[in-house]
Amino acid sequence: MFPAVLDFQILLDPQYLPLFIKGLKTTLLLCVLGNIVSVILGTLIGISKLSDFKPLKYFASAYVEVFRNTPLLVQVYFFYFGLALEPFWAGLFGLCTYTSSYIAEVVRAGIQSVPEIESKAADALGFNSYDKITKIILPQAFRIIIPPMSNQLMNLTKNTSIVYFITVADITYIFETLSAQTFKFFEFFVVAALTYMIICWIIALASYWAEKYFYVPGMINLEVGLDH
Amino acid sequence: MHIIALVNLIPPDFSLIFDGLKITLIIAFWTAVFALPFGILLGVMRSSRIKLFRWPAALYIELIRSLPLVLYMVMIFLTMSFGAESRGVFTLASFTAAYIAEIVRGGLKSVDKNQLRAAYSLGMKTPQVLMKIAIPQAVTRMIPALVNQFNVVIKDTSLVSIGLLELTKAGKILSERKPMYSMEIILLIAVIYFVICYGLSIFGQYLERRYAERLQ
Repeated sequence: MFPAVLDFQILLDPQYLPLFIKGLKTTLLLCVLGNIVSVILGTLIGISKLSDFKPLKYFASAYVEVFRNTPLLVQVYFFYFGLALEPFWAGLFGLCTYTSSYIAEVVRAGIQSVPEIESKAADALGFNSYDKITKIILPQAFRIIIPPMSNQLMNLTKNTSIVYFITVADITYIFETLSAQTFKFFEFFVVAALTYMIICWIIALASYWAEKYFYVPGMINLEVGLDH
Repeated sequence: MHIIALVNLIPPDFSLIFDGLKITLIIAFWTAVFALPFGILLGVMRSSRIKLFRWPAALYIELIRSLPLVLYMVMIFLTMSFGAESRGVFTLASFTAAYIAEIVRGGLKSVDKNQLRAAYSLGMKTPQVLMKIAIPQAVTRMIPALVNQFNVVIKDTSLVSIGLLELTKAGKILSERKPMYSMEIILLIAVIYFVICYGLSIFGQYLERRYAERLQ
């Protein structure tokens, strides 16, 4: 497993480099699309969970429980075998349903940590419920949930490797193919692992920056109790 | 999409699913057995004041936590040559231990410092303080989180299907064998996982509530 001499030159071999870049592109695409869709979907479900409209509330709760309590791989297989989607889309949809159920819980906890007086004040000022949510509640909730949200985005980044199982040529799949061809397991492993780490570092830095940038002096800053 | 018709599955199919479920539970059980002591050891080392203990533990935890489980599992299955079941348990246990270590660290952190000071002032040595004062208190606080982690382990066993015929792999094989009914088969697999995991999460919530009540 740990060869005496590491040969990282092999990565620049024109035979393998294009494959690796292809894998990198797939992983990045999954990551970006998955994160955008999951955040939007998760936010909608999270808001629905606190809705006064009972059917919507129950639907959102059921959605969260179902997708949090089944393995990501089974969800991906559902889209791949059950609905017979293209592998890439099956992987993307599986990632989105799984992650959005976690993000929904994060958003719900964030909204609940905004003091109720804010909502009452908005009512008193005559905001309608759409404006109340988008202009009063969510801006505060999102500031509070930046750290747990970025955690979920990093989880999704790592979870993109699930598409390996449905033969989408992402960085994990390319790692397996190339290292089986060349027997340079460790070299390709390091590069694949670093790819995920670097994306996660970027997300962590962005969340650190966002926390600073959107900081409002004097805004309530409560500990958000979240179960992961 | 057609109506759910499990009647289309014949007894051998069900026995494949049943065998898969057995493997899933066995893997999850052994993972818990190995990951728990290793995770507790790592968590205690990570909380130590001695750098020789703290730094290797911190390095291990951070490295594992930054790796995708699938990538780690593919690497282990490619490079290690012992039995498939042992490889699966090894991967899951070494991976889960890093997450358990973080739970343990959080639990130890939550123990009131005055308790430790009191123990030291009574003349106890560090191992005694750990075993008799810190860990018993930390464990009560950690149990809900550990139950949740076990929930995650059950879901993660699905990734062992790289090299083992467990529940998810059984579903995959059956839906490739009978593409007409793949929807029903995957749903059946999902329901089995859901029953186990949802049951566990309800149990975890119950423990959490009971702990919260006991604090008041």
